Amino acid sequence: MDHQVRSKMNTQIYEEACAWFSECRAGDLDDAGRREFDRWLRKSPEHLSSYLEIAAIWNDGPSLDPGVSGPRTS
Amino acid sequence: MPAQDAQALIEGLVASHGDQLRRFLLARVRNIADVPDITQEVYLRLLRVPNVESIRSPEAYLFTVAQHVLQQHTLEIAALPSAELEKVLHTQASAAHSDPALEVVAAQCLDRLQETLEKLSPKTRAVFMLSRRDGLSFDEIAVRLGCSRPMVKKYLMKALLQFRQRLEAAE
Repeated sequence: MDHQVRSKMNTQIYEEACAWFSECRAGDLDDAGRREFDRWLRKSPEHLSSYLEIAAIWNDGPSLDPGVSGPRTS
Repeated sequence: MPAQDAQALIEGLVASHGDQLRRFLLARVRNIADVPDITQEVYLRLLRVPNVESIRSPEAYLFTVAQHVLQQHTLEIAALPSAELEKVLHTQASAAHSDPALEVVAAQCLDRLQETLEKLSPKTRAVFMLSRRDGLSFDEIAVRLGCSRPMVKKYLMKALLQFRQRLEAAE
């Protein structure tokens, strides 16, 4: 497959993975939504591994230092 | 061919390409905890190769086997029933591991995520931290930041995507 095409396809999968991750965090998925998510995950190994990568980034979150910038809201 | 020849070949490959294999797997799994198991499986499969002398390029072969193991690994996960699958996906342990080479890669990863966090727009960064670190619900975040709930979702998605793009750029 052409490198550019593959890279564009990957970008789309990652965008979808991030959107699904955000949906799951929001807790907005009903039964139909969960089934759709499940189908999406099983589309290809790339779909599943992209989601795992996003989950791994999420796992690293607590190790990051938010620093002094950004709105402190509390 | 005698078994010890296969053994010798693999020991040579591990010595010369072990780090490369780990990076190869890490770039594709990202769940650091799985890498040692997958690496082990790759070596075990190499040991079972019947005609080692017929392999022209052991390096290329090593990565082909790794690709297969990796694919099977993700397919095994994909074959789980839905409830199991969600459990696996959402309870990934950031397991402690004792491999110094992996720790270096993991530390580099964290540095890049840190860099990216600092470059996020203030709202995108705030949504990520309030959700991830503080465990606030999307409703609570929306109230705090004075934006709509769908926007909170969008900001979180944006943050994750930017983190991922930074890691990809480094690969």
